[in-house]
Amino acid sequence: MLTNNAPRTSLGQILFQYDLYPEKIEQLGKVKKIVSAKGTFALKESSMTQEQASWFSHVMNRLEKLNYRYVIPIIPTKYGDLTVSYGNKTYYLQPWFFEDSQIAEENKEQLVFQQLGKLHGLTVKYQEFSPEIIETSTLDLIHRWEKRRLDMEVFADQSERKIYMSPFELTYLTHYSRLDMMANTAVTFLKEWQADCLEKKRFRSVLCHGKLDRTHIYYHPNGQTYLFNFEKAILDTPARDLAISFRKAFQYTLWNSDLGTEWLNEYEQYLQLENEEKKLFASYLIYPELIFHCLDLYNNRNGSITELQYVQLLEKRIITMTRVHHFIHHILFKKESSQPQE
Amino acid sequence: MDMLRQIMSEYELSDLNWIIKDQIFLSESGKKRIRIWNDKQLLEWHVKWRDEISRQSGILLDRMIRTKAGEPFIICTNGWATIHDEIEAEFPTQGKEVEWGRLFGTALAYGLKHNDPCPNIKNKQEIPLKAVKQSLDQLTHIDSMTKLILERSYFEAQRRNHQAMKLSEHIQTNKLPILLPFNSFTNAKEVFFHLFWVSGEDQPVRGYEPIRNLLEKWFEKNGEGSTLRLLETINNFYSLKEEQGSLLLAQLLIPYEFKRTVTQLWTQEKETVQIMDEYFKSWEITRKLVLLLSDWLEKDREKAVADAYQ
Repeated sequence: MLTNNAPRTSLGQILFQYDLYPEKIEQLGKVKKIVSAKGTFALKESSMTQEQASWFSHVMNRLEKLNYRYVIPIIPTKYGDLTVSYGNKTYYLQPWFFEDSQIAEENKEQLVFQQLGKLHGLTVKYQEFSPEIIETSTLDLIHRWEKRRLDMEVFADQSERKIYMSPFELTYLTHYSRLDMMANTAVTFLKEWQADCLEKKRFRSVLCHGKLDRTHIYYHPNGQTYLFNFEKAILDTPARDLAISFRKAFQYTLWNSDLGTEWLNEYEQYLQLENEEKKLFASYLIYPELIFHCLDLYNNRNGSITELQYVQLLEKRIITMTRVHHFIHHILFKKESSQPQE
Repeated sequence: MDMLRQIMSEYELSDLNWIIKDQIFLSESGKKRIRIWNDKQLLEWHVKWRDEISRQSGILLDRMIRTKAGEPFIICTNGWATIHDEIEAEFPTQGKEVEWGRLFGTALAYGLKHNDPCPNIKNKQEIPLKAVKQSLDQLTHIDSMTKLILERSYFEAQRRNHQAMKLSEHIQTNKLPILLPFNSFTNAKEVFFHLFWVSGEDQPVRGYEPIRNLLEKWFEKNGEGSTLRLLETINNFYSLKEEQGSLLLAQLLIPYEFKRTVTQLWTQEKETVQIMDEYFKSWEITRKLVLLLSDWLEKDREKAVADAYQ
């Protein structure tokens, strides 16, 4: 029953729209665990704007229409809305799962790429060809990468001028020329993708999850996996989404080419990448953003981790990037002729 | 089929018992109200209006609770039925200008943007002032003092009417917002300290009469400072400082209270003394409100009216 004894927060107003009167609420990060007579639910708080929330609802409805069952359902309000806006936040409700499957850590990523393949395979579509779109998106990306690369160059220059370099700076400088070469390779692959698209006069798009990794999959004890958190979902090339998930997956293991092959095979069971998409995928993957991100962390360090830990992180990422380089040149493009001219 | 049984089968609601037969029932999710509609277009207008105003303002409204199939209404013997939350606690006005202003500002902005001809718009038939005067002349059962007061008021009413027309003529646009009538503050309910607006089932109207009613009641209840705060908040969502503000001022100048009083004296549903007391009070409120609104509008531009009362 409605009472006015509730705290003066947004929560009462939000839960009212679900006719939920909680017996217990637990805060777990951005999720509130709501225990009520109607059951236990997860209320997610997100920073989606109204426009983004409306696209998010559209995506969820579209997936339902496409009969895609591998997603944790969003429970609508009593007024049929999938999201609730309050202030500058957006909220949505999902069932709470008590059990977690005891799945082996090393198998988790395989399931991620299986699901990503299913999602992309179901939503793949040839887009109306527009040379301007291809041109603009290529130039925008090259411009963004170049700007980022220059920042990294500045860091290298500054480090070099120091009398006593820090261990992190020293490690970075040792590998700098190789990283620079990787950035150039990324641009070359990107330009090749552009040329192929312009020649074929077509390109494909899929519904991209936008940030899929093992933390956005629920592994049900019955063996099934369900995706969640489509807040960053977007229509884009499959190569980009696949590269994002690859990069995210690198952090859970000391990655190698064999693992990459397994993941790609899992994915390609459902959507075979076309040759030009492989080039775009390679371009996203080989661009040393992982390292640059590590530099960002170092530049904004607040003492929460030690210099040694930063060096270890950088070393780990450099090894990963070296393996990515090998994966691209020896696995993804088995034929020598497919490689870009460096 | 019994209405409650039909509701139970079509909605995610259980443990249903009538509180007031065919109107209000209790469920495991609290009290709910049934509304019966016999005009589908009007119903669909209300569904869309509530959904949009709630989405745009973030304020709770008595939106249609969806069926299991996601529909906002069901077909019943007498037409179409909708289910709504029934809330008892009332939401205050004083100190809550921001919430009220957001609701009415959003409704005005939406109503001006979506003001295409709608078959359900209530077109009010204005009785010409002259006809009201003739009607006053024919009143024989009232005392001479009352009649004299009203006869004198007529000239003032004429002046106000003239000013309203003059003001409207100067406005380039004839676009007016579509709104639901404002009847009472009791439509504002409180849910967990938030405003929950009961939109009812009235036909929408074109123009500023609902806002005039709101402002008059607000001014009477909360005074000048609070009314100014309300206007400021409405203005954050809907620009009253331009042409639309002048159209609102023109609406306030129309001497409805004069027309209403003559009608009431004819029907004699109340004592003459009571009718005249209400008339004086209403005239005074409108007078003060016109001055307040005129001054408020004048802050940014030339004073448009107000002389009508000076």
